[in-house]
Amino acid sequence: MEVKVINQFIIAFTEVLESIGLETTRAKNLTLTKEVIDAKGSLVLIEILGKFEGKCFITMTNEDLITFAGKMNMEQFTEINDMVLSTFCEIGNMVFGRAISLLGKHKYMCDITTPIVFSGTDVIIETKRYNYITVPFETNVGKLILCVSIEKK
Amino acid sequence: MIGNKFNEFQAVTVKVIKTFLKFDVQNKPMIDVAKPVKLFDVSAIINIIGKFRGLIIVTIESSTEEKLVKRFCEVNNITFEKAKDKNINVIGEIINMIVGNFFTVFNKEDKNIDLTSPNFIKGKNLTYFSNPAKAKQLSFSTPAGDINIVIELAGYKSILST
Repeated sequence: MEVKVINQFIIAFTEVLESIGLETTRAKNLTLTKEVIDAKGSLVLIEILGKFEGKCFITMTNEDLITFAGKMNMEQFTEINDMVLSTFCEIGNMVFGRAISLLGKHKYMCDITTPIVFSGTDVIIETKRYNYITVPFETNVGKLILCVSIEKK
Repeated sequence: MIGNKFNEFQAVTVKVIKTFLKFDVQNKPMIDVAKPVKLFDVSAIINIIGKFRGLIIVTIESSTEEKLVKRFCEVNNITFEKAKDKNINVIGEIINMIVGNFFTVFNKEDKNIDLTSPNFIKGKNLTYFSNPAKAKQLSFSTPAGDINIVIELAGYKSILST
């Protein structure tokens, strides 16, 4: 995984979250994860196609997602519903769309699939064939974890 | 046209499960499901890319997963430990068999679609959400438990293919 490529995802993530009024601080413990990733509760997943191929997702706890969606929609939510999931889906679209746009500026033409949101309890993702770089972020609405696995085709 | 393809996929899937797992399989009528869609404990997600875009989710209960793995090992004369040693992802193989049919059926006339490798998600009370708001669900009843396949298709064309 190229540092330059991973960096575009981190830049996109920070830019998008700050543009919607969140204060973000990147945690220092960036890790390489294999086998299984604890998705905390909810995740938005996309696949990257084109010059680079891979999978990326953002995870957060269900409680944080409810707070996060409430702040985004200026509404109070008490449970995970269509609106909360739709908000998370849109955030995924914005973050990964921006990352692809930044990659394009470096002449790395890529495309993304439609984001899919999963929510539940004790959610894990099996990643046997992929190594993910996980980058945790602290925001004023909770902790978000960006996971990226991307390789040159 | 697409409806016929779904029926063909359903019929081929029944045949494949019967052949490879030597199970008696019954297919239930295809239904429309509104999102968020409830999933079982174990799900494999595969994206369809190319001429049209979409998503296939194969979802089963964790008890069904265990029984399917046991059955797969029995039919192929391998012990579960041996499969584990050889690093064979049994449930991955079963899902590839099912999804491979989708590829065969939908790619028959114009070879313009491709499938991504599966993502495996496990959890309790799993639901999924994506746009558009509706999807089709095919259900198969086996002695090991139900296998549900959620499919959504969109006419979206990749910017890279234009």
